Amino acid sequence: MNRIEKQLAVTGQAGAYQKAWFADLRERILTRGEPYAIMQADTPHEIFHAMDIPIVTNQWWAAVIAAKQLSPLYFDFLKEQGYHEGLCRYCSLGLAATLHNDPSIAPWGGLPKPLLLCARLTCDCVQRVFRLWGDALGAPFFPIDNPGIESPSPRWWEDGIENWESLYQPHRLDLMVGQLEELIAFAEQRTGRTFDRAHFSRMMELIDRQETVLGEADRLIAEAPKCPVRVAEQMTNTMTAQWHRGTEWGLAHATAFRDEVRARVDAGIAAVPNERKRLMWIGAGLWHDTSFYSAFEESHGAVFTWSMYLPFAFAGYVRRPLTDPMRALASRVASMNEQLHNPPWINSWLVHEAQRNRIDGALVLMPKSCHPAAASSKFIARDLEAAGVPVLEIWTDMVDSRDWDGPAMQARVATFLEERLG
Amino acid sequence: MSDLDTALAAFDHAASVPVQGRRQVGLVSPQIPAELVRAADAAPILLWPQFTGSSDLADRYMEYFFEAPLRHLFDAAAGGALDHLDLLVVPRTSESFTKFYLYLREVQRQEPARNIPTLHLFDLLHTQGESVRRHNRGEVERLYHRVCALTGTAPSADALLGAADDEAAIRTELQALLPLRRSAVLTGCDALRIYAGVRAMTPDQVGNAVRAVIKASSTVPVRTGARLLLLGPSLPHPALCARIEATGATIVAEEHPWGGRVFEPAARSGDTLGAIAERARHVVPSARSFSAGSDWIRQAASAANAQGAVFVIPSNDDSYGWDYPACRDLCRALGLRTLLLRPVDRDPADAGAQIDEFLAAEHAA
Ligand code: SF4
Repeated sequence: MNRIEKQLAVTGQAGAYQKAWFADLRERILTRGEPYAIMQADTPHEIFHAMDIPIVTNQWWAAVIAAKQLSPLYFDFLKEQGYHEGLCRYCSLGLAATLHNDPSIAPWGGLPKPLLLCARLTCDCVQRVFRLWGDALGAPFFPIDNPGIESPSPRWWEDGIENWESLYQPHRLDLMVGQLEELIAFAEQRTGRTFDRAHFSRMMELIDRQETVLGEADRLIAEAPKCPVRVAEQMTNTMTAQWHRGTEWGLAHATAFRDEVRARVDAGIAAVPNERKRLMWIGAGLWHDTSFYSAFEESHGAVFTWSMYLPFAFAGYVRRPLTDPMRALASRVASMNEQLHNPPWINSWLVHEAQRNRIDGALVLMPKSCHPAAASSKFIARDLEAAGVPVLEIWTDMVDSRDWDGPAMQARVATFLEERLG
Repeated sequence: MSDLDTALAAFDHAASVPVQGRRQVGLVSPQIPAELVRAADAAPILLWPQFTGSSDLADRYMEYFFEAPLRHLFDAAAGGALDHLDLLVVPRTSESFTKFYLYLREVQRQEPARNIPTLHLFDLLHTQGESVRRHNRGEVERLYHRVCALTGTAPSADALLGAADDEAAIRTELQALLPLRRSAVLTGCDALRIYAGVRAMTPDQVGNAVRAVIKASSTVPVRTGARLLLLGPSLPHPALCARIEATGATIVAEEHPWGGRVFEPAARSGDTLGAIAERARHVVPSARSFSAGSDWIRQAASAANAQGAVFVIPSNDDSYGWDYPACRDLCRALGLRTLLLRPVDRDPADAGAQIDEFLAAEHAA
């Protein structure tokens, strides 16, 4: 895999901070034996941050395992145990590593027993993956339920900032607040620690400011004549800031990112001066081959300028007024899945984003092993095509590289660019 | 036609007679409490899964991972074939159903000329905890009130209690058939005919029909082939059931929600709405149920003295596969031989050789 030069100074800073954080997390969990939680990426990490309980995010842990090239070994092991190949991969890699139970090859020698595991039930399988994982680690699983929405109004990115109470429906918010309070009580009881509500409120304010700043960076990128930041660097900086959301560092990093983007825009710097076609990447990142995002720059002047992570920051997180921080958090928890995977929210939003970003073509990740991540793809394709944006489906997995044929996929995309984008 | 066939025909007849003079509420799964519809004086129409038919419209909107019966149902709903329904209720008991609901709504939004029935999401959740219990009770009440509004009936605690009593009476009547199933007098195919008809019947009709079946069964010889559990989330595929039982084996219990589990008895309480909600959450199986199947498997295997277990896992499965190894190991520990069939979505004949081989070995053992 070719390494693409980093164009922003903040990208290096994000990497360095993340490395130090990783070392600290390892020290706290492995050396000092602090209680920690294993959590899905879309769970309310804020609650554990406010209790100073370290967390390992399942998807991040999967990326750590994948980076060590262990996915094929672990997925083959699951198959040997009788778990069929159609089951999901992204969220089950950590479970596979635990079941495989060989400290000599697992990252960190394997995860120790956590305080608890926590997942939101956004699909039918995650409760099973986490229950099995909890059983194998000897730790309880705390599921957060996922109420459905009966009448979603399409333009959530507009209504969700100030009319969030009615958009996300009071009865769902009541339920989510109830579940979050139950989670807090559970964590308090198991750790003897107290949930610091003042700290939590302060974190929520910092998050609000951070997402507002990221929203400014997003607007700068969308409106610049040529894209000033490659999508891979957008993802790195956004995700690192989001990882540390609610901290002074998160806000400072988002601000530094925005400022550097602004400086590049003001100086007329394009990430790819040769930019002729603007592409949208729809779905999670292609973590096992991020160089793919730059593969068509030289040959076709085609630049990935959009992925969901940055634009979602403002629309998905900001809530005004922030008078009831727990309810605001509940509204984020309740809605993330609909916004990114269900009609009418995802298809309407993507058409809006494609127009706002002057997108010429879209590539949609279709992970065979994660049905929710592939959901709504037909509505997305129909609506984008109707809006004049040609769409190509990319069938692969985010962390499992076994079925990824880089050269063949690049050839397919090249044909798409030549035939559909002219 | 045998006496038993004649008796079973009462259930077929109930399932096929068109409803007249009452509001019709379509239920896409047995996970929706039919008694709420009856309490509001409307007719619950359980939309039994169809394994053949058109899926042209579904293919336009639904991804590869939706099962064939849900695709046919989508076609029927989006294509106007369900326009006799006054309301179509979809439960939030699997991701597929939730998407089915949202996809239909989106088609309705984008193509308002389509004749899609009015939709209702029955947002039943499956975790425990006080907030979920409150939410589920609220959902049960919301559905009841919605059907009441449709029929112009005032919501009433007495009507609700009466309908819950009727439902309990139906379940009690059906319990009388269990010995016939467990002793392999009734086949799994017979049982499916019964379950398909019950939703359209009153307790008295169910009672009379059950007694007729019991009487007719007295002359039916006990089947001597292997007694099997049918495990996994697969839908009630009549051809598969028939293919298995054509070998002389008998399906004595099935795990999926279209079979006998939905009629298992449940605790009653002074809070009718709460009891209905709790039963739907806890007793009726669904993709999102938390009750691992192990207790049920243990109990079903021992009650029927089962000898084997056939697991049917659809090709698009993304959840039961996580339960399968543990359930398989449990069955083996209970002394049951196991067979895994997948996929058998479209043509059970494909699975014929596997079934024959399994049952031949069963017989030899
Ligand atoms: S289906 Fe997707 S979201 Fe759900 S557990 Fe599997 S990989 Fe994760």
